[in-house]
Amino acid sequence: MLTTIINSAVVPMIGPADIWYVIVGVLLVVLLAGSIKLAYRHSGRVHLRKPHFIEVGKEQDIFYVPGDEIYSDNENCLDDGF
Amino acid sequence: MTDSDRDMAFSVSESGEFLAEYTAWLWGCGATAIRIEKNVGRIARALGFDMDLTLLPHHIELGLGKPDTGERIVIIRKVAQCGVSFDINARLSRLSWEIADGKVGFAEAKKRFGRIMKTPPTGRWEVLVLASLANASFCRLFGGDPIAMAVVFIATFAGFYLKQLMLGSHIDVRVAFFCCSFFSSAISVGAEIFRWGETPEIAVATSVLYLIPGVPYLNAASDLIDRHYLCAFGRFCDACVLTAVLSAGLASALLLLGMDIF
Repeated sequence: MLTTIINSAVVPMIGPADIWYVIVGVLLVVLLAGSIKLAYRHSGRVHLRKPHFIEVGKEQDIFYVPGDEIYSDNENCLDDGF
Repeated sequence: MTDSDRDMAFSVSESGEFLAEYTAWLWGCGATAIRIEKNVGRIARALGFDMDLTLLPHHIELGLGKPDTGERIVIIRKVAQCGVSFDINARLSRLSWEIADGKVGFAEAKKRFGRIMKTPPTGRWEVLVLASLANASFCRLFGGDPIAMAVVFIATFAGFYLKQLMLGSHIDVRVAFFCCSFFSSAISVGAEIFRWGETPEIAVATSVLYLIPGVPYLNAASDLIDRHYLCAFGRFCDACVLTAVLSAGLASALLLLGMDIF
């Protein structure tokens, strides 16, 4: 009886054609995403700073008081040492 | 003393820096070892120096000496990652001849070299379309019918575009080759699955030819003939790894889609 139930169940057979459609679909999605990323990179907004959720910044960015001396990026800062 | 000669009164270190950078770029753009040796030797002799060159797979070591004063410098430089470019290769070779023939002085040579380094690559869309047409032509050469050629064109276009995107995102070249060969061969297997055309098997076989690293293989053979065994072996290994990776991509696609080729 169990065999009959299994045999009569509608079990979709995944054939090569289905796998082909999935592969082509994945490729199209990847190419589309890549094209959008490329277009964004070449757009005028590329100069904007990419937002970081977690970032290690300079101390002076957090504890800046007007009048503090501003260090350039080339100078060695204590918080830059690793 | 001509202007050109006056131009040549420069230090060993300055000339060494220029020659090392020149050598690194020539190596990076896909020149053979013999061409690098001849070009750099030509420039060094024109500038009045003795030159010794060691070519390693990822670095060059240049020894430059002034015979009259005994000054000597050794510079090690990493090979430039500029990609194979016959255009840059030809321009650099032409520059070496211009220096050797006295047509340009050292200062002008440095400026020209700077301009050559900034040579823009061939447009991505031109390369994409032309590579796809070339691969479709390969399909025709191997006896494919027009439908197989169209399938190969589309497969190559998609795969090559994916390669451009992945390499532009600095993804490892081996991963990129695997993915591109997988998707290109998967698209071409569609001809076998859906019975497009009379020669689907030729479409499958030729769909990944655009990934074959022909220049490294040829350069390896050339280096072997000129007895630069280290360079030859390095280039040959690079080419073999890429070939193995693209074969793995092709085989994966065939196995996944149930093609009984093996």
